[in-house]
Amino acid sequence: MLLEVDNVVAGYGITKVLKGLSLEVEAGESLAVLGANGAGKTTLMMTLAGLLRPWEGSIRLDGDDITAVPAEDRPALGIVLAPEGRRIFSALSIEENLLMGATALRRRFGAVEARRRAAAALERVYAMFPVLGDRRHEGGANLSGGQQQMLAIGRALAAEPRVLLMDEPCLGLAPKVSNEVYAALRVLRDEGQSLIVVEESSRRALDFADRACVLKLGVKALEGAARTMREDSRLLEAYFGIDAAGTAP
Amino acid sequence: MTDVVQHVVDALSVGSTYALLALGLTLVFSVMRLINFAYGMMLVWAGYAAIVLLDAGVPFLLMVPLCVAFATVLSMVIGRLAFRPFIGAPAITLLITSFAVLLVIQYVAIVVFGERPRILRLPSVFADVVEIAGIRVPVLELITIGTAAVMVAIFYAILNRTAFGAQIRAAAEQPDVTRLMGVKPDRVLMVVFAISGAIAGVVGLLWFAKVGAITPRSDLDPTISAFIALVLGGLGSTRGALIGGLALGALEVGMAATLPDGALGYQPAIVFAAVIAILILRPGGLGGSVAEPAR
Repeated sequence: MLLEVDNVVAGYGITKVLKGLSLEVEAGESLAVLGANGAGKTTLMMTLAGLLRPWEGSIRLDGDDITAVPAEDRPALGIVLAPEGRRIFSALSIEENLLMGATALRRRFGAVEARRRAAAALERVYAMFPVLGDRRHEGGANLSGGQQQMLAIGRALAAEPRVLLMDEPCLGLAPKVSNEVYAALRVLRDEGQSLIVVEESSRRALDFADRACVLKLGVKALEGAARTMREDSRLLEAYFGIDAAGTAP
Repeated sequence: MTDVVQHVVDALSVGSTYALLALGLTLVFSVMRLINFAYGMMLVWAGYAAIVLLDAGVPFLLMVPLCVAFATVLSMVIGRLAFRPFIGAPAITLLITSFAVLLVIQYVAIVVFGERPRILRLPSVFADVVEIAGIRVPVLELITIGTAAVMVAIFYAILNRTAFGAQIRAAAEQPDVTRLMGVKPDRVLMVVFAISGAIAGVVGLLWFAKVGAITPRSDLDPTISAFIALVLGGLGSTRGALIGGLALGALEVGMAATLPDGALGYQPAIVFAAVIAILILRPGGLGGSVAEPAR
């Protein structure tokens, strides 16, 4: 198992958000994590990325316990988060944003190899999103929302993630642009990239992922193959709080 | 006409030291929201280091890099011991910490060097005046302007052309996201304190070469001028620091040149009044950026 989350309890201050969550991702697998506002999706991502320390439970990568590894050391292990809201650096050019993403390669591969890999990563991202290549020396602030999301994906890819964590990649994007984002994620998935994508409500995520789970108030309400879950009325029940007969709460 | 050129050289010389100080302050502020009132004391310590080294017979050309290195290390040590533990604390906590640091290193200076002024004896060339195209320019002013120009160029090269610089700019904008890229916040902080310390070392030498004497309380003038320059230019932007420093230099020299004799004694008050007027008209400072931290 590539990534194992075991019975994780986490939160902010005295507010417990994740209340004993477990999930797993195999190498090459894509997992969609769905849930309403407040279900704990972003908290899960922050915990996986190391920005939040779990109160209980453990996170393992390849069987190694990484629960206590701080956020800045996780990219070198291959755990890379593209955070909610894209959060690109507006003071940096597109290329500098991508190179920031490649920072951790140095510790993983040594300086010489890291430089080679960073250059290769840039080429790969520019091939994937030509608009970024065309404007590589421009500031990140001039990009549209969709282009910023592409830059955020590219920046995460530059770290050569073993597990790519995507927190609401389509937040605030037009449907057409969201489709483009998922087209890109699909390419990555087909190349064997392991990833976890978090969405509030997305048919796209279910269409895309191998497996899906639904969070509700910090625990896993439902889990299964994404394909079957798409047709499953229990999903609606667990997720939207609508019972199987279809009456609203 | 020659008067005007002479005043411009004066203004550049004064303003460029202010600009450098403001750059050193703004760099640390941008990364950790620290308004460092102990900064002027760094200059004082660099000045004392110069006196000690020269008294010990160290040649001038060796003393300069040693002094800058000393200020760099001192700044890193203070940053590590006094400020790093408060990273992420409210700005007021950092501000008060900086006052504590100021008092500590000031009283250590009093204990070590005493309250009496100590004289910084430099090679006589620094006191010379050269005549260029009919304009008489003190050598020290030329050295100051040249050094400042080189320092600013190096500063921008580091900030805009190196991976460290990109990390500093990224950390100033979104520190948590920078961590997600695998950048160690501690390392960024230490680099920033090192750069700011090196600037303090250089400016300390230039400053006390001009003033001539150092006391443990000589930090007040450079600190106040640097903060005025910073606010005048717009807190938190390097462009603002440069503009603010040069503008303050121009303001001071302009006032000194144009005020009637009777008003000269009030020059600092008039300069401050002008600064207040500028800030009323442009609250974000001359550099145009808003004082609000990015986040």
